Amino acid sequence: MENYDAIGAWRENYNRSLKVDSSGQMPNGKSFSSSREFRELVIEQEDVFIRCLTKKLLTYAIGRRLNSGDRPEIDAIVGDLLEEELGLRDLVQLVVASEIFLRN
Amino acid sequence: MLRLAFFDRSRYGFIACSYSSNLLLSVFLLLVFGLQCFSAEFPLRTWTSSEGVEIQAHLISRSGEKVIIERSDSKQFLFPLSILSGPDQAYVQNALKEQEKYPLVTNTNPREFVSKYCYQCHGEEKQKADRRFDLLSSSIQDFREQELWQEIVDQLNLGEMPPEHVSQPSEVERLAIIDLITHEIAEAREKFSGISNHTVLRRLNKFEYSNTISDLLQLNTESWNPSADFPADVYVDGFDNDGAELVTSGLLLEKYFPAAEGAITRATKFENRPVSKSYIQKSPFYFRGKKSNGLPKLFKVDRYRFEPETPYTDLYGRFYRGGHLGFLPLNKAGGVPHSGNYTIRVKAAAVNRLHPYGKILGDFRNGDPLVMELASVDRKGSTAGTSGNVTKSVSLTSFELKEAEPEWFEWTGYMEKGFEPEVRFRNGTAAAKRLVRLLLNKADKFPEFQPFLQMKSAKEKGYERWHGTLRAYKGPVLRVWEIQVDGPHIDEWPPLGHEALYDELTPQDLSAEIIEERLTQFAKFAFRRPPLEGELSPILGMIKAKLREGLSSLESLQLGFQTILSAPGFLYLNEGEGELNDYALASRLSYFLWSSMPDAELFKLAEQEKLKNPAILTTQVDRMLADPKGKRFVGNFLRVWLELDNIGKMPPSREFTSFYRDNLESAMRKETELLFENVLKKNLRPLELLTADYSYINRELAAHYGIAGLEGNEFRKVSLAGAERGGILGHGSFLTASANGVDTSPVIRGIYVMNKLLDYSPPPPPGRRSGNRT
Repeated sequence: MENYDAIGAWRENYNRSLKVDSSGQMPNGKSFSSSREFRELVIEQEDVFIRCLTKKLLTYAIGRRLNSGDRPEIDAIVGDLLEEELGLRDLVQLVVASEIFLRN
Repeated sequence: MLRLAFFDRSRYGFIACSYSSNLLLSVFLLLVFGLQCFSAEFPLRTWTSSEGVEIQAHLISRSGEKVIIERSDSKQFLFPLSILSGPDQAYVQNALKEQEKYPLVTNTNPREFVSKYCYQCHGEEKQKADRRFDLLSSSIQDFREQELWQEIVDQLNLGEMPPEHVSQPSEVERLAIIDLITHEIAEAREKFSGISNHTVLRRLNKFEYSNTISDLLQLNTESWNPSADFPADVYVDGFDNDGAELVTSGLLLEKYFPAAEGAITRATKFENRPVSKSYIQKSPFYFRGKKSNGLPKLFKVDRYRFEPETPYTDLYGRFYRGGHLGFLPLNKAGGVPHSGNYTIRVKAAAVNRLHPYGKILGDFRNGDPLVMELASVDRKGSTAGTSGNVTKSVSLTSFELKEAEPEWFEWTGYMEKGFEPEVRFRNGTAAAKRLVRLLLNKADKFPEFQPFLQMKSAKEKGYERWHGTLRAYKGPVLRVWEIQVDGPHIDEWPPLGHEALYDELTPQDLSAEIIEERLTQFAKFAFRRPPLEGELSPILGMIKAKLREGLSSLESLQLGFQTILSAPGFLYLNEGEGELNDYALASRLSYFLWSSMPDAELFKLAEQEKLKNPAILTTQVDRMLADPKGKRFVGNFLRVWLELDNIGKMPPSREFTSFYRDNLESAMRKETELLFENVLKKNLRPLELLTADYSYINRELAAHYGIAGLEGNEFRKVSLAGAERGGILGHGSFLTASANGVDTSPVIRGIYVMNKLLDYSPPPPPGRRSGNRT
């Protein structure tokens, strides 16, 4: 990510002399040595990403923070989506069909 | 090997470092919070590394095994504790203890703050606006106190209190106290309401309020935004629709009524169908002598505006002077006489797109098309002698001009009553004033400007120094021959919004019974459900009383409408507990996908109690996403999910000229919206958002990304196969929203990615607990 400046333009160096070091390590312990590898490591975690997106959609849809009581429903949505390789519109449909959405 | 690197923070990064070992994100998570704290002042001292390198700097903060110091020239350095000499390490350890002893935030507490700045007017002696703060308890005791604190924080956020003539808190003090109070309110709220699985009564946020008013009364809320001066909504982790945080303060209540009044007034159209008119203005657009008497400056000849001998007028600059043209017929008429759709036509050409002046013309890319913007402006209060500046301005459209021969450019769309059109040279090279100065400075290289160099700046010479320079100038000019305006174009009269209020009644028809019937009918739509038993009684009772007092029947009815729009039934989504009923479900659905109220079809399904049928629900979701209003879901969800407002809150520094010149902010948002829309429409796997090896970009964004060969301002799908970019991790929006406008930090980007994509919520920063929610 360090290869991108503050407005997202590509850079190899900070100021002509200093080379950008875009290496690092993810919290799961995997390390990366470039922006490309970093991106790969994020993509690799599809289940985590889907869970994250599901939670953001739910929060947006119902106007409250989620809590531990919502966990089973979220697990179910994420499970369905991954198992059946569903799409983004399906995800919106699953959110709407969930108990979290239909109940208050 | 360990390498310590440092950069000028104004340009390259306020922390940057590279180690042979990898950066541990988890360590960095800690670090960023260290940075967010207010730095306590540590004295300047000499630091020695284990290799013997010395540096003079202040300690800024320490987190885990990392230390940040700042040199007197404001450069900051970050490095591991372990490379410091023994005494330095000990110093940091001690300093840290000191830091813990003294809180980093200011010492004032909210009550001391209020006593210092507010008691004067809201204390024992005076209680302006009926607000008295000296009796507030030492911690928030009840809901009433919570509301009072909310008001205080609203006022501080708006910067309206304390009023200008009394002593003011410093900015740091103000921000710190806002943070403390916000935190205290949040705690109180949790204490009073408890954590539950129910969405509390949720108030419409500003965006939803405007959309609802727009859909209910068919008003264009882009020109007139009824919630424009409501206090900002509270953001929780990016979301501005959290019911628990959307409290209603007295200040907000005060804003609701005028907004409702404005909406009802605008929707009421008892007058006859307006007649469409045509207005024409040919060059000249600037006037002198008698002809200019009483006109705003924009219409008057001055240094950077002259009356041309040609049948056209040239625009030279980017800004108001010499870069904008007004439209006299509508200025004289006080703007368009009715709100509605108008057609604007401009005969114009782009002349001298290629120019010989090199770098003098700043960021203008030689050969670029010239951009002509049409705007709709409110020039009220701008009379002779005033600057001609506008109180409100809405950009209508932009055209890219490439031809030096005149062509007509036409636009049709909504203009608000009282607004008048303006033509602008959007990518003009510089302000005309600056342009003239720069050209005269280079008169040695460009002899055409020589004659004007020696002229005095005396007014009686007819501004020849400036006019002559501009006439001799051979750079890009936007040439305008003529402007025409037609309208309003009316399809339906009275408009739908008027019918929603009055059906087909005339003011004479309004008996007491009919008023009651209209109010009941209107409340059903405004509340997005049938009113509850007795819910309207107070409103109906008040209107009856007003009628008895002699208020006219039309005014009484309008007062009733306004009261309905200020009632909890309109302002709140009341979703009850347990399974949603059909109406509540219709609302939840429509605020989710449209950020607004249900339409007639959803209403009908709710009425028939069919909406809970899974098949019908699925069909409705698809229909709603396909509806033009479905774009609100895409745009607004992305805005809160990825906190794209960060881009506007911490706008990139002026050094990034392309960001402003090329309108990159809106281009970046659009890129991400188009990708999301594509994945949604084609129902692709959500991971596509990250893996897409294509994107949607225009010429400007392509140039920004270093992709060659893209012409034109419109967005199109471009393959990125084999390139570094692709997926939102490579989007300008994502990368800019995760930076701070000046530089980048691996830490902040790291946390941003974790929080937005990988389901990680950062713990509250030490010393500030969970109070920081903005």
